[in-house]
This record gives sequence, C-alpha cells and structure tokens, in this order.
Amino acid sequence: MWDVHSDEWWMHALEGTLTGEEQRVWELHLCECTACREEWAALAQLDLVLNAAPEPPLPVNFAQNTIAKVLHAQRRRRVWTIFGSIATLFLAAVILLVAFGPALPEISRAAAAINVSRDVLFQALMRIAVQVIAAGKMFTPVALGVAAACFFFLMPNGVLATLAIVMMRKKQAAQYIEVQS
Amino acid sequence: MEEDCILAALNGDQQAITELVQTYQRSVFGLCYRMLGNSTDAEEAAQDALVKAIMNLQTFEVGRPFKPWVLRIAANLCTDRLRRRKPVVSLDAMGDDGAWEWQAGADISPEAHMEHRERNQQIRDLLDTLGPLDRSIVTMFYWQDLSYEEIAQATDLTLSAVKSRLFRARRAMAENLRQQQEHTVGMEVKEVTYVGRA
Ligand SMILES: [Zn+2]
Repeated sequence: MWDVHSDEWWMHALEGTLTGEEQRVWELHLCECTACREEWAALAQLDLVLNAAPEPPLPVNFAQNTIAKVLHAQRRRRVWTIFGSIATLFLAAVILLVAFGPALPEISRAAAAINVSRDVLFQALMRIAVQVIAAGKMFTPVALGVAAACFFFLMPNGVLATLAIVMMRKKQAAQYIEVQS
Repeated sequence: MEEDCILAALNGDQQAITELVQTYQRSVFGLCYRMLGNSTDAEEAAQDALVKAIMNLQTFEVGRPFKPWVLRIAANLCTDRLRRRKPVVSLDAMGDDGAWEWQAGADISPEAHMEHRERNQQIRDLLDTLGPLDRSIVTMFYWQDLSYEEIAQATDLTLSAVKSRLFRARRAMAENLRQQQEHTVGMEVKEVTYVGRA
C-alpha cells in the first residue's frame, strides 16, 4: 500500500480505483487529517465548478465560414500544384539545356548516323529475305525469322515504303548495268 | 460510417467535408474557447484547425478515432497562439469578448445569462493559471470526454504523464479556486463529498 500523501494515492482516489481496504483507510485519514480533508474538498468543488461550465455558444455561421475557408484552401492548393508543375518542367528543361546544350550537334550527328546504318542493315536483311523467298523456301523458319526481325526491329520507314525503295534501287541498278553495257 | 465520410472528404467530396465540419465544430470550438479564453480568437483558431485537418486528411490513420486527432491539431494551434501572446496580457485582462452577451429572443433569461457569464469568467481565471499543455489536457478531460488514452494520443504524452499532469493541474486549480472563494466571497469552501468521474 502507498503513502496516503503520495500523488499516486491521490490519483487513484480521484479516479475511484482504490480497493475496498484502501478506501476505508482513506476515509479514516480524511477524518483525521485537516490538510487532506480541505484539499479533497477543494478538488471536489473544482469538479463541480468545471462540470457545470456552460458550453460556449458557437459563433454565427461558423460551419459555413469554415467550409468556405476549406474551399478557398483547396482552390489555392490546386493553383499552386499547377504552378509548381509548370515551374518544375521549366526548371528541368533549363537543366537539360545547360547540361547537354553544348553536345547537341554531336548528339544529332550520332542520331543521324545510327539512322542511316539502321537503314542499310534493314535493306540488306530485306534482300536476304527476298532471295530466300525466291529460292522457294517460303515458309522456312529462317525466312520467317528474318522477316519478323525486319518487321519488328529494323523498320525505319514502314514495310511497304522500304520494299518500294529496295525494288526501285534494284531497278535503277539493272538500268545502270544496261546503260554501261 | 465515419471512415467512409473521412475517405470521401479526402477525395474532395464537399458533402463529406460539410459533414465533418458540422460533426466536429462544437468540440473544436469548445477546446479553442477554453484554451484561448475568448470567442474571437477561438473562432479563428477553430476554423484554422478544421481547415488544416481537412487539408491534411491524407496524414490521418483511418481506423483510429478522429476526434483526438482533430483536437490535437486545434490544441497545437492554440498553444502557438498562446505563446505568441505578450506575457503581460492575461486572459483575465482581456475582459469579456461578447460571446456571452444576452440578446432579446435568446433561449435563456437575462439572469441565467448573467450566471453563465460569471461562471465562465471563473473558469477562465482558473485555466489562466495553467500552461498551454496543461490547459489542453484539462479541457480534453472535462469538456471533450476523451479517455486518458485519447488525451495521450492528442497530446503526444504517455498515459502516466497525462495522469500526473492532469492531477497536478487539478490540484493547482483547486488551490486557486479555494483562494478565489476566500478572497472574493469571504467564505470557506463548502465541504462536499467527492463523487469520482464515472
Ligand atoms: Zn493527510
């Protein structure tokens, strides 16, 4: 059992969680000790005063004004989100330009070279495919594989356009040989 | 039910936002009023708290009680306001704020109104002796019906810290009340049998 003058004891007494025996000890102590009795009475008086406190009246249109403030805050957040996104994009563009700006001509030259070599490789593969088909092995897995590779990975200008270019170049080469002879 | 409302408000549903404001306006305003001591400051703080709560619903853990969460926001805003106040300006010195002005056509009589006003002034004087944190704990305990656990959640304190701070605050206020009554009324505190909190 604790000391009747300790905070723990008083907290339990106020919460009403003293055991039966403790409660008896407490009541006896209150009869004997004037200081505790007065303090206990003062605490009880305080509870009476605070529990009887009238509820403060809500200001007029409190809810409406609050909802208006919420809507205003939501609008302001939307505007800031849009403004923030634009600012971020702009900043990213500036950073990219500063970082890669001087290398821009080199990058475009490299891109052009890659494009041309892709074109050349595609034409070669198409020629092989045409020859394989012409050799009568139309449905061999090799022919299909090459055709699929051409179609999916190396098609720079679309299938028909590329076929047309290949045919045209073949015709031009034949004409050139004819003229030469 | 409340969770649905919170989730809908989180998605910007205006009906749900209105419902949340209407459900918690009294609690939030009541806490701000008791902490700040006047209606004008309390109105501003309570509105700020509700707006802040709704705009930050994404940080609320759905499934936990909403009231301690929203009261925590309100108590923090009131604490900031109290700290910004000049120390010489006490709640008592601020005088009456008009919240308890009786108006013709009101539900209660002018006498009852007068009594409310006096009681309110007495409570203000008592709370004025406490620091912001203790004031929020006392307010949540007496007028918001929060459990010790919920007060601990709302104040970021441990359960034992809440209990011990509340006890010391009650003791200080009781002493203050005794002095108040001895000085103003000139009569001794009436002995009343203590009835523990149900
Ligand atoms: Zn004693």
